[in-house]
Amino acid sequence: MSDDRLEGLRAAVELSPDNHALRLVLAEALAAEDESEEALEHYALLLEQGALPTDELVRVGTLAIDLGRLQLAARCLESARRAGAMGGTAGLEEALKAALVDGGIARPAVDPDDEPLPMVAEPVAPEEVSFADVGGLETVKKAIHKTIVLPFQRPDLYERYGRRAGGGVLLYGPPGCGKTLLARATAGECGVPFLNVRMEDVLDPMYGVSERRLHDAFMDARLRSPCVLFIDELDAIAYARRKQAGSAGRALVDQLLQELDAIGSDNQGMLVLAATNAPWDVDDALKRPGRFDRVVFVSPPDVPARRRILELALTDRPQADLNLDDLAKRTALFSGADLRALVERAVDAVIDEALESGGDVPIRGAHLDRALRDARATTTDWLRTARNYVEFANHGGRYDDVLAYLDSAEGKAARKR
Amino acid sequence: MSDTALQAARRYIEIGRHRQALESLSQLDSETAATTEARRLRGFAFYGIEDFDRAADEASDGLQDDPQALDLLYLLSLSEERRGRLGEAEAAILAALEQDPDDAELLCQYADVLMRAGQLDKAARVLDAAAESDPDSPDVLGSRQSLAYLRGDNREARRLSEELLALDPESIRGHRMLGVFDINRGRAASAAERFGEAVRQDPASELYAADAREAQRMARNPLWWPTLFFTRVGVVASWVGAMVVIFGLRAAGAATAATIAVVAWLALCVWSWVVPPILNRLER
Amino acid sequence: MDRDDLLQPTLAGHQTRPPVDKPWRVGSQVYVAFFGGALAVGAIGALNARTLRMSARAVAAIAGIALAAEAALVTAVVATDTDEIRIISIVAGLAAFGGSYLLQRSPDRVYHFHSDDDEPYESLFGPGLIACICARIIEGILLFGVLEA
Repeated sequence: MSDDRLEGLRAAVELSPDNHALRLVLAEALAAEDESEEALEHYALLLEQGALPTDELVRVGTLAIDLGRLQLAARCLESARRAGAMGGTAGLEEALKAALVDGGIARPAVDPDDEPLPMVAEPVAPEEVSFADVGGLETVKKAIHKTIVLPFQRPDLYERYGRRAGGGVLLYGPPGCGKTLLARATAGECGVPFLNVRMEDVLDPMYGVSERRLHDAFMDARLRSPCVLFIDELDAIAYARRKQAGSAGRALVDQLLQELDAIGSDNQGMLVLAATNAPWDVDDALKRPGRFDRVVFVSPPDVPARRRILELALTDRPQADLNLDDLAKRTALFSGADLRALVERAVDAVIDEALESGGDVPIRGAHLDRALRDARATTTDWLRTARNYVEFANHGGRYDDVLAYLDSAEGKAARKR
Repeated sequence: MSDTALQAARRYIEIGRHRQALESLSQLDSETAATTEARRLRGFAFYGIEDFDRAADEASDGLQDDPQALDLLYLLSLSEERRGRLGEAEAAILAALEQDPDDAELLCQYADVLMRAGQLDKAARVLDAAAESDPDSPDVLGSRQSLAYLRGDNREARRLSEELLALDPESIRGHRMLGVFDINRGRAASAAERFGEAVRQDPASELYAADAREAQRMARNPLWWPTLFFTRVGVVASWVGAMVVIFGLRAAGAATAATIAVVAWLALCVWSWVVPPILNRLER
Repeated sequence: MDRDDLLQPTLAGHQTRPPVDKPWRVGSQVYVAFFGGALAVGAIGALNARTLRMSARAVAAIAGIALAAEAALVTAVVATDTDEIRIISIVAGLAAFGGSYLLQRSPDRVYHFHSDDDEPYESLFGPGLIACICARIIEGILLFGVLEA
C-alpha cells in the first residue's frame, strides 16, 4: 500500500474515530507495512471498545507478545477464550507464558493499573501432599484416582476413547471430613500445583468485584496450568439461582459458569475441584456435563482414617497405654474435627491433673474415654439432611454413594441418632 | 479480618447457613461485634437456628443503640411471635410500620402475628393494605394463602397455592398446602409427591421430611387404605352417606343388609380410629 | 377502615397457650356424636372451644346448638311416638356435630397451623367415652321422664 493511501486512512480514522471497520482496515494496512507498533495501538483501541473481531484476537495477541506488550496479549487471550475462538488460544497461552518467564514477570496484570492478581498466593511448586498422607478412605481415594488422577496422568489413553482430562469434580460430604485435604492430595497425585479459592477471597459487597475476583482466580490458574484449582464452599459461591432473591449472587454464578465453559473449550489439563457440604444447594447448571458433572462423596472417616487422625492429633504429646484401634472403633461418625476436639478435651483434663499433681502426666486411655462420654459426632445432622434429600430427590442416581453409605453399618448407626 | 467475617456471615445468612454465620460472627473483634449490623446478623442467625430467645435479645440490644432500626424491629417481631409473646410481637412490628406504613413485608408480618392470635378479620384487612402497596408481592400471596386456609376457605387456599406455584414452581408453601389438601382427601401418593418436593427444596427440615415419609407410608402400606378411603370421601359426607345407606336399607325392609352395613361401617370407623396411631408408632 | 385505625394494637398481653394445653381433634368428635348423641358432642365441643380460646359467645353457641338438637330429638320422639329413638338420636348428634365442627374449624386450624408439636392433639378416647356414657344416661332419664309424662 502506498504512503499516500496510508495517510488517507489515518486522516479518515481521525475524522471518524468511532468507525471501527475503518480503524481495522488501517490497523491491518499498518501491520502489512511493518508499522507494527502503530498497528497495535489501533488494535488495542478496538479491543478496548469490544470491536476487535474474534478471528483477529489470536493474531493480535501474538503480535503483542512479539512487541513485548504482554498485558495486551493477556487481554487478547482472555477475550479469545470468552468468545470461544476456535484454535490458536493454546499456542498463544504457551507463548505468553514463555514470555512471562523470559521477562521474569510473576504473572501478567490484566487490568490497566498493573494491579497484581489479589487472589491466589500459593507457590507455583507442585503439591507435596499425596494420598499416602490421607489415612483410610480407600473407597473415596479409589474413586478419585479413577475419575480424576488416571485421566490426568494418561490423557492420551483417555482421549483415544473420547474422554478428556481435566474438567470439574465436586467433592461433597459432612463438614470437617477432609474434603480439602483430599483435593490437595489429588493435586499431589497429579503432580501439579494446588490453588485454593475460598469464599472470603471472592465475595465483596461492591458491585461486580466478586465476579472480577473469581475471574482473576481462574486467569491465574490458567496461566499456571496444569494445576488444580480448588473452590471451597461451592454452595456459598454458586448458590442455586432459583433460590436467590437478589441479582448479585446470580451474577456470580453466571461468571463461574462462563469460567468453567472456557476451560471446557480449551483443554490444558486444568482441573477444577470444588467442595461443598450442601450439593443440593449448588446451582443445577453447575452440575451439567462439562462442568461439575462428576461428584464424589467424601464420607465421615472410616476406622483406619480415624486411627490416623487420632495418631496425628496425639503426635509429640506425652502418652501412655493408648489403644487407638479401639478408640477409632468407638468413634463412628466422628469427623476429623470432632476427633481433634476429643483429643483437646482429654488434654485439658490431663493438664489440670498435671497442675494438681505437680508432675508430668501422660495422656491415657481413661482420659480419652472420659472425654468421649461428653463428645458428640457432628456429622449426624448432615447425614440426616442427606438422607432426607436422597429419599426424595435422588433422580438419576447422582447420590447413590450417600445411599450406599447410609445403608452401611455406620450409616445405620447414624439413622438411629 | 472483621470485614471478611461480616461479609462471610452475610453470605451464610443469605443462603441459610445460620450456624456457619454464627461461627464467622464469633471471629469479630468486640467493637465490631457490638455494631447494629453485627447484632442484626447474629439475631437472624439465631432466628435461623430457632433460638428465638437469643434472637430477641440481639434485636433488643441493637434497638437500644438504634431504636429506629427497621430490620431489628422486624427481627424482634418475628422472634417474639415464635416465643408466643404476641403482644410484644405486635408492638415491635407496629413500631416499624410507624416508620414505613406501606411496606408490604412489614404488613405481612403484622398479618402473620394477627393470624397466630386468631384475629383473622383484622389480618385480612392488613393484607388488603399490603396488596395495595405491592400487588405482586409473593409475601402477600403467601400470607393470603395461609389466611384462606385458616378461615376454612379451602377453595381459595387451593387457588392461591396454585398461583404461588405459577409464580415459583418450587414454592414450598404452595406444595405443602396442596399436599395437606391431598392427604385430607385420602390422596396419599399425590401428597407424598408434594411433600417430597418441599423436602427437595429444604432437606434440612425434619418437619417436611416427616410429612413426606408419612404420606409415602400411607400410600404404600395397604393397612392405611381403609383410612384413606374414609378421608377421601370426607368426615361429614361419609357419615351422612353411611346413615342414608343404613336407614335406607332398613326402610326398604332389608334388615340383614342394614345390619351388615352397620357392622361394616363400625368396623371401618374402629379401624380408622385405632389402626393409624398403631401404624405410626410401629413405622417411626 | 383507614390505615391509622388498622395499625392500632389489639394484642396487648396476648400469650399463646403453653404446650401442655392441647385440644382434641375436631374431626374425631364425630364418634362422640354417633355414640353419645347431641349432649355428648355438645359438651366435648364446648370444652374444646374453651381450650382453643374461642370467645364465650362461640362456646355458648356450640352448647346452644347441642341443646337445640337435643330438644328437637325429644320433640320428635314425643310427637311421632316412634320406636326409632336411637336413629333420631344419631341424627340429632350428627346435626349438633355439624354446627360444632363449623364453629371450631377455623380456630382449630389456627392452632394446628402454628403448632410445632409432633403430637398436637390430646386423645379423645377417655373423655369421649365418659361424655358418651354420661350423656346417654342423662338423655335416657330425660326421655323416660318425658315419655312417662
